[in-house]
Amino acid sequence: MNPSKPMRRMNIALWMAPVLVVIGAFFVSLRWLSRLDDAIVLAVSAVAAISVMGWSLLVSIRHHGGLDEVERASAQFSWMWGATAGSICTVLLLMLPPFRSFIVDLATGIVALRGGSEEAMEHKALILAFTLGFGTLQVLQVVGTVVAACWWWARTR
Amino acid sequence: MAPDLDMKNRIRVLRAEKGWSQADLAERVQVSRNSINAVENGKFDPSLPLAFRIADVFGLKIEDVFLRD
Repeated sequence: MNPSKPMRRMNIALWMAPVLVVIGAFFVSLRWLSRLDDAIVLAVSAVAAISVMGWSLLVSIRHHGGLDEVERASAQFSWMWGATAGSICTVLLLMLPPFRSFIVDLATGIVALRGGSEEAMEHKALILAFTLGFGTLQVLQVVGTVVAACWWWARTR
Repeated sequence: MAPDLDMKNRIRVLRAEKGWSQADLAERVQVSRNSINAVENGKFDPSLPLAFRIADVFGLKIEDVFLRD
């Protein structure tokens, strides 16, 4: 028997909870992390990132197994077109000098909060700017996927 | 590329005869109600296994449920 819609939502929320807890804990402890050694911060970040990605993968596999063929077709359509559109938008966005400057300024500003030698700060700002650019790609791919899923839903209802 | 083959189905009529809602049929076929809605309205062409399952719950042959337009 198919579970009811509220039950399915509750199930999804429960499965996603550990991811939200780890992300929340990471952001709450940012101030504490900023006082620690770089190596420890990197280790904590790596553990948090791997935990979130591993758990998300497990949830995705489990969720995908429970989908019927129409829902799978929807997911395939949404990801294919949404992620492609998100990638194209990211490239176009990164071609715009104001956006590029915004990312560089943001990275430089964040790195400057902790201080350090000019060479070290430049190195960290470069890594952070790259990470922010990659983050932009991820966010726009998710947005594109959600928009494509909404389009599919509207077309098939 | 081969041209698309238009299909129609009698799911809405068959459901009405049985007095089933889309949710009832969805439960019997083990898919979501939205999926039944998409198939019933011709927005999604089901795979052969799903088409057979739908025909089975009505106790009919597949060609009695799905027809060429």
